[in-house]
This record gives sequence, C-alpha cells and structure tokens, in this order.
Amino acid sequence: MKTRLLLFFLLLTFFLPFQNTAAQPVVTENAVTELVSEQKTIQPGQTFWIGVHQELREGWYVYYRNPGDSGMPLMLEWVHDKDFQIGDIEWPTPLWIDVSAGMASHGYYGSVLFMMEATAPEDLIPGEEYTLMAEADWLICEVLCIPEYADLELTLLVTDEEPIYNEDNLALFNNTRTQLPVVLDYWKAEATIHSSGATLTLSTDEFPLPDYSEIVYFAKEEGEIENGAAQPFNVDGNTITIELKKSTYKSGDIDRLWGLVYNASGWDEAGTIPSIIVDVSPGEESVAASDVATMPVLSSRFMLILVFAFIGGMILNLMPCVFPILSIKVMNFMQMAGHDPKKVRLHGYMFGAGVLLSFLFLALLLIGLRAGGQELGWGFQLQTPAFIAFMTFLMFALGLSLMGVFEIGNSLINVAGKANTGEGMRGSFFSGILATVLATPCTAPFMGTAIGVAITLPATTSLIIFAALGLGMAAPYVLLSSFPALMKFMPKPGAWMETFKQAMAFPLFATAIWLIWVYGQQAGIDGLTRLLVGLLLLSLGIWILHRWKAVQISGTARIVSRSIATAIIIGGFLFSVPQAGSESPGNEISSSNGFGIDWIAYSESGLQQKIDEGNNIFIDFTAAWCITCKANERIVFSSDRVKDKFNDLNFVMVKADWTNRNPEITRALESFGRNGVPLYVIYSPSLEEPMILPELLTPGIVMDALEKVSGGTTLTFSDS
Amino acid sequence: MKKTAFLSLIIAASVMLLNFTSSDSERAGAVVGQQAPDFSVVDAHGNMHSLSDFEGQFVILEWLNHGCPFVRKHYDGNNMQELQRKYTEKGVVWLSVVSSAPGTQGYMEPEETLRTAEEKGAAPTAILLDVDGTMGRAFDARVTPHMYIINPEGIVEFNGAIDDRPTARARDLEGAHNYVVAAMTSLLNGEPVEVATNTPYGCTVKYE
Repeated sequence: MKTRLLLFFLLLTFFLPFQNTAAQPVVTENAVTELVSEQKTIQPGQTFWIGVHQELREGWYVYYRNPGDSGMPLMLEWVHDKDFQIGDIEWPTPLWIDVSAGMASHGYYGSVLFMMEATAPEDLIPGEEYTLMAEADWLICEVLCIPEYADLELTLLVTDEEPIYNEDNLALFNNTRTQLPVVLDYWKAEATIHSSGATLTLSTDEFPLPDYSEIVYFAKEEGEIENGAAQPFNVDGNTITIELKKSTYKSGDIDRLWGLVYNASGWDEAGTIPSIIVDVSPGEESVAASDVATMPVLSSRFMLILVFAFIGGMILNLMPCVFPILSIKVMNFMQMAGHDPKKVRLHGYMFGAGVLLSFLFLALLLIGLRAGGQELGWGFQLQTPAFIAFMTFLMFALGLSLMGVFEIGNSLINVAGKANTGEGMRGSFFSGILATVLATPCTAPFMGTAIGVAITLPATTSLIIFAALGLGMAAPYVLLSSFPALMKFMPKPGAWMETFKQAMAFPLFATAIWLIWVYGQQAGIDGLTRLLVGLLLLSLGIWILHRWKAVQISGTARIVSRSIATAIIIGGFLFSVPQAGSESPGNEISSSNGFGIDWIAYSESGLQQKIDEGNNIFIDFTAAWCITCKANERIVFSSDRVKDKFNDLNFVMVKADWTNRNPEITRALESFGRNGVPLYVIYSPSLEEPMILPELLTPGIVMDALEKVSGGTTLTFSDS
Repeated sequence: MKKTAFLSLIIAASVMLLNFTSSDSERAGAVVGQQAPDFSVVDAHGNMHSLSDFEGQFVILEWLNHGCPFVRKHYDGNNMQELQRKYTEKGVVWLSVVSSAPGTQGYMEPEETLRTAEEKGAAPTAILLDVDGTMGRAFDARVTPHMYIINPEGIVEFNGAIDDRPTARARDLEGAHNYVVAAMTSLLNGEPVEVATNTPYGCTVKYE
C-alpha cells in the first residue's frame, strides 16, 4: 500500500512540470495529501470546486467534523494573498468507528476528499497563474494517533474562455458528491426530547419503506449525543424513530438535532442517497401524520418464522423455568377432572388466554422499552434486581402457602394456580400469566431466531410473532382440557393430594433459592442478605395474617393486624430492593464454576485480536439466571473428553456473561440475530464463517463440531 | 376477587418498575455535583493515595499519556507544568493519572515515569499508576488530557476539557480559554463554577 502510494507520488513529480495546474501532493508518514481543483482553468468571479484529497495508509483514519469521543478534524488555514472566497468543508458521510470502552470515533478510511466551494476574485487577469495556499493540520489514527500537517498549494490558470475541467479529478469530485448528505424535502424530521436523550422521527409518504438494516445519526457538533451509545431505531409504517442518548457532558436537555442521518439502504427509493441532513429543534416540525398502518407481508419466510415461534412456544413448557408452574397446573387439572368437562375446557381456554395476553403485553413492553432506547434482550425481566426480588417473594410466599402455612382459599396460590369455583376462572387466567413471566428467561431453541427477527421488525409484526409464541405455549393446556379423556390417566383425588401439594412447595423453594443466587450475583453478599431479611419479614407478615385470622378477631384488631402485616411485607420488599445508585460495582464475571477451564471475559477488541491471531475460539454466551446455560455447561464441560479435545485444538475459551445487561454482549448477540442466551459460537481459521451450535448442547454435539474444526483434511478427502 | 385485582395490579406495577429501575448504571463516572468515586492507587514512588487522604483540599485530576499528541501539546508548550506549579503552590493537590494498560501507548514503568516527569519539568503532587484502569473507569475518564476538579468535601466540581481548543497544535495554546483555570479561580473565590462540564478532547485512554 505504502509503496504504491510512493510510486504514485514519484510518477506525479515526474509529470507535474508538464501540467498547467500545479498541485503539490505532500507525503507524510501516514497519508498523501493534495489540494486539488475540479477545473484546470478558472474565470474571474467564477465559482468552482476545490478540495483536500487524502490517500490514507491502510487501517488508519482521519476524522469527521464532529470527531466523536476523541480526535480532531482536518483544519485549514488559508494563507494566499489574493482574495479567493473559500467556503466550509462539505463533509462526506463518515463511518462510525468503535474505539472500545463504549466510545466511538467518526471518520474516514482509504481515500477521502474534503470539498469546498471557492469563488475567484473579479480582478484576476486572464492568462496569469494564481496559487491557493493552505496550512493543513490533521490527526490520523489507527490505535495510536499522529498529528500531521502540510503546506498545500494549488496553482490555477485564469482564462476568459470556457473553463477547462481537470479530467483526472472529475471522477473524484463526482464520487464524493454522491457521499455528501443532502436535503430530501419528502422526508419530514421531528424531534422529541426527554431527560436522557432525544427521539428523532423521520417520515415520508413518498414510497413504502423497506426494512432498513442500519441507520446512524451523526451530530454535527460535539457534546450533544453519546457517541458510543447504540441508536436503536424502529421502522413502523411510513415512520422511522431513532433513539439518541444525551451526552454525559451535556448539562441541559438536547435542544437541537443538527447533523446527518446515514441509511445503509439509502434514503430514496432507488437506494442511492446514503445520508440526509437534519436540523430540527423539539416540537418545531409537525407532520400531518396520515398513519397508514401497513400490514406485514405474509411472505413464506414470515410464515416460517411464525411456525418456529409456535413450536418455540410449545417447547417453552419443557424449560426448567416453567417447571414449578407446570407442577401447579398438573395439580389443578387433577382437581378439575372431577368436575364438569365444559368447565375444564373453559379453564384451559382461560389459561391459554392468560398466556397469550401476557405474551402480547410483553411484546408491547419490549416495543416500548426498545423505543425507550434500551439495549435489551429476551431475558430482560430477570436482569432487573427489583424484579428478581419480587419473584423471590412470590415464589417463597407460594411455597409457604403450599406448605399450609396460610389459607389457600384466600391466598396467592389462588391466583397462581388453584381453580375450582367461578373465581377459579380468574385463577386459571393468572396462572397463565405467571407461567409466561417465568418462562421468559429461558430462550428455547427456535425462539432465539424468532425473537431476533421480531426485534428488528415493525411493531405490528413483532406483536404477531409474540402472539404465535403465546399460542404455542398455551396449545398443550388447551388440548389437554379440550380432551379430558386424557385426564383419565391422572390419579384420582384423595388424601394423598394434600401430601402432593405440600411436596410441590419444594420446587418453588428451589426456584426461590435459584432466584436468590441470581440476585446475589448482581447485588453481592450484602444485597443477598437484605433479600433474605426481606423474606424473613415476609414470613413474619404472613404468620401474623394467619395467626390472627380475619374471622376470629374484631374490626379494630383486624384493621391493625392487617396494616401491620402489610407494612412488614411491603417494608421487607423495599428493604431488599437495591437503592438507586448503590449498584454493586464488582459484578463483572460470575466465575462460580469454570469447570477447570481458563475462561477469558468477552470483549469486542479482545475477540478481534484473537481472531486475527488465527486462534480457535469458543464463545459461551451465558448468564447466571439462565438455567439452560448452566445445564449445558454442566453437561458439556464436566466431560473430560470434550475438555481434552478443546485443549488439543488450543481453543481460546471466551465467556460472554450477560447476567447484567452488557451492551457490548447485547451487540454481539444481535450480530448473530439473537436476543437472548444461550448462544455458542466457534471461530476457527479452518471455518469460513463462525459456527453456531444448537442451544441445547450434548458432549456429542460439541465433539462433532470440534471434529469439523480439526478434521478439515478428512472432510476434503470425502469431498473429493 | 379484590385480592386478585390487587395482585394483578402489583404484578403490572412491578413489571412497569423495570422501566424505571433499569437505568443505565454502566456509565456512572464522576458526575458534577455528586460525590467523586473513591480510589486507592499507587503512585510512581510506590505510595498509596486515596481520595479520602485529601479531605479538606481541592484535588485536580489530569489523565496523562505522554505518547498522546494532545498531551504533548500541553507539555511541549509548558502549559501543564505551569498549571501544576501554580496550583500545588496554593495547596491544591494535583494528581496525574496514567490509566494506560501495560503494552499500550503511554504505559511506563515507575522509574521511567519519574524520569519522564523530571525531563518534562512536571510538578504534580503525584503521578498515579492506574495500571488496571479501575480508577479511570470509575471516573469514566475517556481521553488524555481529561480534567476533573474535586472540592474539599469530595464533590466533583468540574469534569471536562482542559481548554476550548480541541487541537494538537502547540500554537493553539495562545488565546485558548482554559476551563480548569476558570473553574479554579471561581472556586478559590468561593463562587460557583461557570462551565462545570463539557466534552473533553484528546486521545482515548488506552485501557486494557
């Protein structure tokens, strides 16, 4: 690369004396810089285009007007004596360059032209030559940054005839013009401001919008938005919304969105315009939004996704997270079997409706949160400490209830599962909801794909996919209740049921322990202890409620005892929930069990380095709250055969721990079209593309995958 | 019946709670008006320094990397050294922090750190070697030079750029408005800081 540039420079120096436009390319350590003109000759008073053209060393970049979190754009100081008017640089659409640690640069690689409009003074004399002179300063970076500078010159011949274009530079100028942001009047921009950032809304009625894959807003000024933050966008009908996070260094609210918006698919229907200029202040532009709700296309691909979503929903029932609820439901069905079959069917439908509705609710929440600018995934509920604490309380209370500590008829379990009266219909409905809430952290096979697709699609499409998931999960219950004949295989009710019911408390307690463990991973030993104290208060409150039963005591005592109990329970919950801002710092790696493997923590830069070095790499995307992940790890990594194989192939073992939402890992999951864990990926120089393993692992599956990595020769043998 | 409705409300409310409790905690950093993150870092002489050691004194933090052109601008122009002298003479604590990980630009062994400081005529209270980047990340230091001012009560008073000329050219020191000087002048006069935060400029901190 460098030698080629040098050759180019040498050639130029040879030919330069014979040209009438004399431009002087300056070779610095990392760039060849030249002041160029689109025209060889100019007329007095005429407007023409000049530019600073830079050929950069491979892998090095220079900066956009707003350089991002570090760096400096090209600076020009004009020092010629004639009064040429030279306009501001027309900045081409930059690239978003990730510089790790949540920071980003905006810049250009390769060949770049910084164009400017120049106007010649009226008093130029035809036939004479004039020279434009500039002192240019720029910073060029790879990992390190080097400041470079050059004195640039451009000599132009003045003519009173038609100006002659510089054929060599025409293509350069024209190509750059296609990269400049433009104003497209059929796109309307609107900005809404919130305390943590801003929402940029772009809409058009010009053509139906395709599914855009990549849209990035570049602020023209520094210190407005957080450069390294993700910019989640959503295309819905004729409207695109882009979420922008406010810069940490911005003291007030964002008051202006001024910059350009890049779209990988282009902004016109033909897809030729890469970026448009936006300049809006909040509430300034209001569009008469004739919201044309476009139905998602029911293409065969979309139908396939729906089928997968349905199957994924069904498989959810087999996931460990749903297990406690399943056991409660099984108990219910047994109780209901003795009743009217119509009623049983109705219970099934109610349960199904509960599941379906909560899936839709989740979808709406997901859409809302996504719009709220969060990088989130399918397991997002269980990542919030407050939610985990709440679920622990619920599980513990349900367990106590099953044990008979407090009355079942009026208790939580009524909601969670028990159903034998009219009120029981409600119970079935809510147990459907509970089952769904519990199922979310386990991403079953197929579901990863469906959710991954759903998150990138318009809101209506996401809703349909979630509905399919819900239907899938509800299907077995509806079937079972519609064909109560199957119920015959259930044991008859009797005294043993009380024993069975009490025994069912243990899975709930086990779930509570698991939740407490997850909580401990996030909040540390102190937080965990607070939660346990909270549970103690909960049991105290429940004991008060039960010891002094409502029917046995007078009105005042009832009110007093109930208030005390409620205060204790709510106080216990508030006590165990982490205070805002006191999040534990050391929650990076939960290396509770590495199975004797040297795991290294995931980082984008670290991974890229290992890939570049030509290593075999295994990445385990996991989280403390993901039981499927833990089960997989236990099954696979306790096998010495598998571990030896990994060792033999010199695998670099990378653990991407998603216990706390880590944006870097969220991005990595998204790059594989996933939105949840587990995910297992193998990189190897012998593979053309990274290999994705199934979500349910066995030692056999892993061994087969490793064979493919090691046995490249064997495979070619069978191929030929 | 009522209980069911009440509980459904609780479930709904707690699910809603997610929206508010899941604020981005990944990037707390040093926020103006709030307590500065504490730190315990060894300096180039091997002495341990904590923020609590400097209770009752103003503390200026300067993120340092002598390989960075933006830092060189301030050292070659003798600007940083003058500021260090000016404020340490007034009893202000000046800590230069190197968060470059070993093997990255700006990382130096303690002896080399001291030698370089002497060559450059630097005069900070101490040069902290934040080798693993813990302190840098706690403060969310992004670039060199990234500047912070902490008041005697441990509250962050300034977080941002050293001046208003985001260039690597030494000649731009002349006529630049120095935000640290402006803030310190206000603080020493017991006045509020006018510009308490802005975007720092420079090279990215070379964390491991």
